[in-house]
Amino acid sequence: MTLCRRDVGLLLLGAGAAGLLPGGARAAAGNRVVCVSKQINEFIFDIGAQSHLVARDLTSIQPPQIRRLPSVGYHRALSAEGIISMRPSVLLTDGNVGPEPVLAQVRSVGVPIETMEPGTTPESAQALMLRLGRYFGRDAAARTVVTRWRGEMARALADMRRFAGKPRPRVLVIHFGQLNNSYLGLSRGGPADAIVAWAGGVNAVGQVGGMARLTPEIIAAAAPDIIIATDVGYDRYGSAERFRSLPGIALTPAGKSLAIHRIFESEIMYFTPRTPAALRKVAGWLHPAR
Amino acid sequence: MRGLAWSRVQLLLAAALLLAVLAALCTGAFFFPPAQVLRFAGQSLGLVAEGEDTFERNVFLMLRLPRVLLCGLTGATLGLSGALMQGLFRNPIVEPGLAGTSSGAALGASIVLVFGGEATAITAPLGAAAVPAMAFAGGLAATMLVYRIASVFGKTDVLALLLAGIAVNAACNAGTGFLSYIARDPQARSITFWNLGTFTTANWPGTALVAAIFLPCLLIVLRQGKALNALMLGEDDAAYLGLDPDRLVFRLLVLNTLIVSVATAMVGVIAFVGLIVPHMVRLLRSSDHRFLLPASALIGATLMELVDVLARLVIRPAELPVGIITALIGAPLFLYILLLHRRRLAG
Repeated sequence: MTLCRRDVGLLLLGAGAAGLLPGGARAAAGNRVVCVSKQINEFIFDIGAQSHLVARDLTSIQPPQIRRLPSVGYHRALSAEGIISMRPSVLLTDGNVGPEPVLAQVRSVGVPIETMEPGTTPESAQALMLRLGRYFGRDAAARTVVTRWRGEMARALADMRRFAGKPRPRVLVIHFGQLNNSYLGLSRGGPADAIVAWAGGVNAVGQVGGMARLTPEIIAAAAPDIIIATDVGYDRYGSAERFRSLPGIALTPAGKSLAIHRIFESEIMYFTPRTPAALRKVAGWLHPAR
Repeated sequence: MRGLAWSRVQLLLAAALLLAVLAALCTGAFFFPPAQVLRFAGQSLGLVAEGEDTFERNVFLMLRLPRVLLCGLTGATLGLSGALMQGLFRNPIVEPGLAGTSSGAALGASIVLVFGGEATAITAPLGAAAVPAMAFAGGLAATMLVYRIASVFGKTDVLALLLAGIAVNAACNAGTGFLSYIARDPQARSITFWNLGTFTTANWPGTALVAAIFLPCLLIVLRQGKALNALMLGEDDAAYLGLDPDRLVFRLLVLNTLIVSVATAMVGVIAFVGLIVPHMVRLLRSSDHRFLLPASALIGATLMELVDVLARLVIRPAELPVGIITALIGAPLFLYILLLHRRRLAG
């Protein structure tokens, strides 16, 4: 349902970008934006400014249409020539980019670099959306998206109150780190931890900050009732039954009851207008209707 | 090739390098037709009037040209160093990384990548140069440690040097492994990419530095061909021929450490080239060091240019780390030459 509504919105906004609606003709961003942040790229599509985009980074794969754009590589291993060959009006980043000398090279041939802080809370993510609206000359679209987002978020959070008195299941969110071929537990701080808490759960590895590298013993000791795995790691196994074969998982309550769920990385690793829907989805897993 | 005189073969190899350099100058995310490359050269020398393609010219002069030069210098460094080390250790499986240089450099770079340039008082003012500076310091320190340990067993004991190299490499790799384990995800990724080697960060100061160190060292090393040939007989026999093997080995190792540390500091760890290039040269023509040394430098540079062209084209406009491709195309190329050589011996 949410996807459908979103697609209609995108179509409308896309029509706006194509010039059917007035305004937004002169954006500070220019018409050839290379953006190497997945959150910002998603937001650019949200406000219908995607016609400004000419290239993305390797990890920006949402929404699916963005894959049509060429990739300038991994955002921490960029190459100057690849970016410059797109003749960008600006290189847009969230600050998590490298290597540093490449950024200097990009600047040296006159390509401006704009860095926007990533949204690490719903509020700062919404501020980022509004900032992008101003930047792309799509103020009204950004305000509409944020207003709806705030409303949906408030309603979703209000709905979560009914789980207040309920038992709080222990939840382990597992993200697969492709670099080291290792499974990481998303612990305290960050969107996944917040979403689990709002949904009335307890983060099973909430003692440390950031991401914890999981060992079979940590998984067993965390004793999660529910496991939520991001898409790439889950798809390596393909089903809850097979995911259970990961060392340590079979020993947990979640493994025994097969309470293992798949979620898109983009739904739980950063805040977007899809967060309220993701929150409802997670809450549904945590408090199944009997 | 066997029938040709050395000088002819050298000329052929030089011509091949020239072609590879031209190909590398023309291709990449930007394609510069050869005529445009010539015009840029003319403009820079003031021979041709300024055109309208200033943007392209900037990209060519500030990014492409230093990169192609750094790439060639690095390839030449690794090829020469491989030939030199295999000669000094009289062992065909030795490569530049064996004396601890690459792993020490990787450890130095990892420290900066994980803790940031501000981690140490020395690197703080260096900014973006902190990674190469620490890599150089790490490479140098690890290699010195290898020689120091080996000298406990007697100065020219090559076996002790090899074993000390293995031990120091293991220790450095453990350090890098530990750092990437405790690193946050993005930092760990930076370490991985640094360890795969890349020319993306090439700039004029770095390229000039590598050239300033490598070219004088190259000239000195090339004059030692005859002495290295004598050393192949064994250190005692070399001494009978009037050489001072201890001094020779020490001097050449110092030069080798210097060129490999500087190149590795700039581009990261590039494996395999130093190992296979000298073998290619031996199989092509001769293992006489008077031929082996210059030919290894030439083939190393040519191979590296071609690898970098591939790295820039395969997933255009993004790039692959060159270290992946050196092993990918280096291994089959090496096997092909090996088989060719076998067949020739049989037939």
